[in-house]
Amino acid sequence: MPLHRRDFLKYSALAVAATSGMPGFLARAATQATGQKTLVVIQLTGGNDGLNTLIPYSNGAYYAARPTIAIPKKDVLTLGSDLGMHPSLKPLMGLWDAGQLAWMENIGYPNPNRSHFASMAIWHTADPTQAQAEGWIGRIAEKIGDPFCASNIGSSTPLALRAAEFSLPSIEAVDNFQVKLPAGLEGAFGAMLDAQRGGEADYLVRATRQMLSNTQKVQANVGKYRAGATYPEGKFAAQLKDAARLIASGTGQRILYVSLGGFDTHAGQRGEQDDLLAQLASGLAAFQTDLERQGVAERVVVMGFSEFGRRVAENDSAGTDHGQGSVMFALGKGVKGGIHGDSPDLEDLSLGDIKYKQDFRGVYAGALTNWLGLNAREILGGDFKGPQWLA
Amino acid sequence: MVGLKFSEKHVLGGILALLVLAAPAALALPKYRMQAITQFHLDDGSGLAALDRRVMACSYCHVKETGGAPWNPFGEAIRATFKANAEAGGKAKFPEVLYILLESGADADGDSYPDALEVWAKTLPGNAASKPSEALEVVQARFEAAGGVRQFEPQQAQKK
Repeated sequence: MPLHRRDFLKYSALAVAATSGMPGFLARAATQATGQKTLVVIQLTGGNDGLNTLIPYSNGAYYAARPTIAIPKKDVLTLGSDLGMHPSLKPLMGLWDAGQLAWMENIGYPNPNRSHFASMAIWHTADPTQAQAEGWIGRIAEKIGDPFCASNIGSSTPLALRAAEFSLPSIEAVDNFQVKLPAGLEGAFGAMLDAQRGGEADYLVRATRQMLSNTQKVQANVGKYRAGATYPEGKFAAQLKDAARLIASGTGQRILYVSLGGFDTHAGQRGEQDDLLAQLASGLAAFQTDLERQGVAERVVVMGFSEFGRRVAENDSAGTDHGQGSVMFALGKGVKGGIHGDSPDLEDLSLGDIKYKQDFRGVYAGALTNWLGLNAREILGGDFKGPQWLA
Repeated sequence: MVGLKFSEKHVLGGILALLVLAAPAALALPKYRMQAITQFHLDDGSGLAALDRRVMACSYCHVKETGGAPWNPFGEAIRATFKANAEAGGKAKFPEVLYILLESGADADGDSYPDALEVWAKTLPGNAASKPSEALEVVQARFEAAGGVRQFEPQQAQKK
């Protein structure tokens, strides 16, 4: 019985699940062509405040709206006559000076939604109408017929990496991904694989054998990795290091997904966001240095987003509430450095929020078309123009 | 040659579905609530405190059971402490702000029992109708004997 493409994808994922729970990308990795470009997506969970990330330090309205939480002008890392970075982002200044850091201003989507859940789903599915159930990266896997083309580095797969029939793998820690059968079951497992089968069962057995074989090679490659940079402490940096290991080991992943949470700064924003942006910047700076020293920096770009920005005016808890438009960032040697978009207009707001001027799907389209060489229209379901953030 | 039977396919498909569904859901558990539960020593270590609203309902600080605005007097006191700290150039996070408030001896709901005392006695510091049944002096003495307000000091502050 011939397998249809959708069936193939489903049973490929099933082969992984039915055997060891090991992420399927390891099974494919040794045969995956190396040298392909990789996109690393960074999700800032909770709604990062774009105004205190890329600061309109020359705009009096910014300081008027935020009497206690604004970043003092003297502390801003000046990027131009209007905008500058939060001081916690100092580790990224080297990339900015090298033209390898891009900021995209006033990013959002039509009919903004201030719910974390709904807005994140919109970014994950790339569908502001919320009609789409599949994630945009999950759709990539379906379109190119590779259910292991992307992985989440973390414990739970975001909607972005879910397709209709399967979910792309999540990797909690690369070192833990090995076939470790319970003691005494090795023989039974071998006997199960040796049994004569046909049809789909035979396919599952062959896929399992291939996975076991290739996994050993991939683990050997991962084991050879030696960090080219000193990563800071913390889970986020550790996950970036795992991403660097996978890339340097040639596992052939097209997209890796890493998240940093805690950006829902309703109260005491300076204490929370200052620390989070420091984690973000120090982790990414180490990641980029590592990629350089591994000799793979040319084929990796990073793209970062959050589900929404925050209100322009601070609240009575020295924090900010959910808003609309915000900033995105990208970094890497393949990035066209600079600020893509205008400084936000704080005199023309939408219900107290920054109006979006650039659709995030246009940013995705750039990554799909100009970096990954994929058909953005097929994956996003339309043509979306965006900033030219890739060199 | 044996292919997968229909039922086997469904069993395996079910396993896969379970694996997908078993991925930890992004439960909407407010960060501040969990931090307060830990700081107030209300977590019994079972991991269930996050899911059990009886341990600490949103109405501990908010007017509505669903959280959000408006806040009850204790919630408003926390907000005011955040603001005062920021106005003074501070960058205190939630646990530190909570301790600053408790240490101040404030009585947000005006029931004559200080907030820290109510936290320890497991009554509601933002609701005047909820207060210890014993006299203030009695509860205060027992509270001090149990370690007083310092038992609510954030872990980081204790290290300093």
